[in-house]
Amino acid sequence: MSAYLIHLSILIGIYVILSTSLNLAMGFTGLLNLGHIAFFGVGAYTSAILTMAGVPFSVAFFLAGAFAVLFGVLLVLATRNLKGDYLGLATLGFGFVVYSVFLNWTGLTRGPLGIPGIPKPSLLTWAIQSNTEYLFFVLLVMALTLLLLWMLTSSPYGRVLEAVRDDEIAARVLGKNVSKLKCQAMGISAFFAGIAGSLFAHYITYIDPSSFFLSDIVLLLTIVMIGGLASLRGSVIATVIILLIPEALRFVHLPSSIIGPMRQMIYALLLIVILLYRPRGFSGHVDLA
Amino acid sequence: MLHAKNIHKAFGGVKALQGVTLTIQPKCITALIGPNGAGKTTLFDIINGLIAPDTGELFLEKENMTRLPSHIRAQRGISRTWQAVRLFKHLTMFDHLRMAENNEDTNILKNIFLFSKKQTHTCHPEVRGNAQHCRASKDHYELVLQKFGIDRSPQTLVSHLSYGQRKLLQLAMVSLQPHKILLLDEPVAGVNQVVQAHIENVLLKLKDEGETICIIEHDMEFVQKIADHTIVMDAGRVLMEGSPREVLKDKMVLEAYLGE
Repeated sequence: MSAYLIHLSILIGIYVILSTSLNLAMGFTGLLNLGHIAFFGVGAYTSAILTMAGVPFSVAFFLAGAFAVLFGVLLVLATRNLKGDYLGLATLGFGFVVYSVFLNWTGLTRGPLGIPGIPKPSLLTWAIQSNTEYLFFVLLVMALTLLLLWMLTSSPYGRVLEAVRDDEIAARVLGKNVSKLKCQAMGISAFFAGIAGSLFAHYITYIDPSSFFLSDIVLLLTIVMIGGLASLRGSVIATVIILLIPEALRFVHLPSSIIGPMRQMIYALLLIVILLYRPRGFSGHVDLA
Repeated sequence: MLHAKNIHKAFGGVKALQGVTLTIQPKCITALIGPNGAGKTTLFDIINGLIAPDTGELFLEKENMTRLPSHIRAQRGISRTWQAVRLFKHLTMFDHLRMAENNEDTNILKNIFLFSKKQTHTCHPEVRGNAQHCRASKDHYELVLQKFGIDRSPQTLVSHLSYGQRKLLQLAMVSLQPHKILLLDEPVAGVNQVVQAHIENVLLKLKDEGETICIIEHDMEFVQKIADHTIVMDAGRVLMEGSPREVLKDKMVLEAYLGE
């Protein structure tokens, strides 16, 4: 397999984890989280900073998820009285705040200079050096993530999350602790985003705040909407398609100054087309409304 | 059974409830009647914990429920249906009944690792319910649906049900939910005569089984058929109490409620 395809596959694996975890919060539980990319960033920075300080990768990897959980639960608690669009705006604000922290807390994150030289991971005796090995590692984590999310969403617990999404008040009156369920769903969603961030940081070996800005949340939203809310399968398929479409632009001879913005235009256009003509996405069973 | 004591509630300048004190007696059907805007549904919302009263207290048996959140009140035994049916539109009847039956489904680890679709449960011994020690299976739910007159597969999405069937499903859910009291908000509003007769039979049967039921209802003929006790509300106050026959003869009630 060429290095290019391996690179693409690794990115697709990381984004599958990111998009399916967003779908748990947004599609299954109805939490319009526009700040999901912040959990990705928290995971990336946590893992990078810890491993650079000498913490073993395996510990840093789980702490990346744990820190993201902490932020996720705090976000739910801070926005517990908000719903729908208002929650979306608040979570978007959360994304901006976290981005600003990455940018301005230079003592910890080096701000716009970013963190270079993030080490390749090693797990016990397995030192992951080549991209092929990294691809296996990413695919393993992705498979475990999908398995856990599938078990969760296929179980009665998943149905309760969907009940919270459909009618929060009716769920409460049935005896369900809605606040706790939302914290759990957002926490799990943030955990997987956090470990995806760790995978990203140790693959690229350099992170800076620009990797976790608004443009990436548009990409994630496009994936989840096109795949369909409350559909893990849809998110996986949409991730592959959405990440591959802009790659076609590489083979069109256009200046790089045009290709970059064109990617964003393609995502936005796809999002609009889906919203207009197929509001349930490829395989979702929930209306966007 | 359920006692509300001096409940006040105002929404801005509108006084929805002004010192409501009432008691729902056990093992009978109590009808809460009154004109629109009398405060009946607000009282239900306060009993459920969806709205906090400005002042006043609420007791279920001897337990003070006033400060408990709504999900805890439901777990303590307050079950409720809605005037405008509230169901989870992307889920099946099976999902609804299973959710109503117990709270095992909120145990995350059990659900992931045991994948407990066929879990069993034990109700609290003091909590009444028709589904004690039952197995959450498709066959079991088919029987429940038959009992409530819903001739559809449990796997049917609720969005595919008629309005009457949704009303019946709400009833099936609350009766399955471990409970001490059933609060039914206009159970026959908007349904045809056949479904109304069926709901009437179901409610009378539940009463025979010893259930404590409180209904909000505008259909006085229906109230006379099923209620043992009637509480009349008007402008956020309890106007009078008594048997349906007594209440409907009262001049004050007729003026307030029927405009006669």
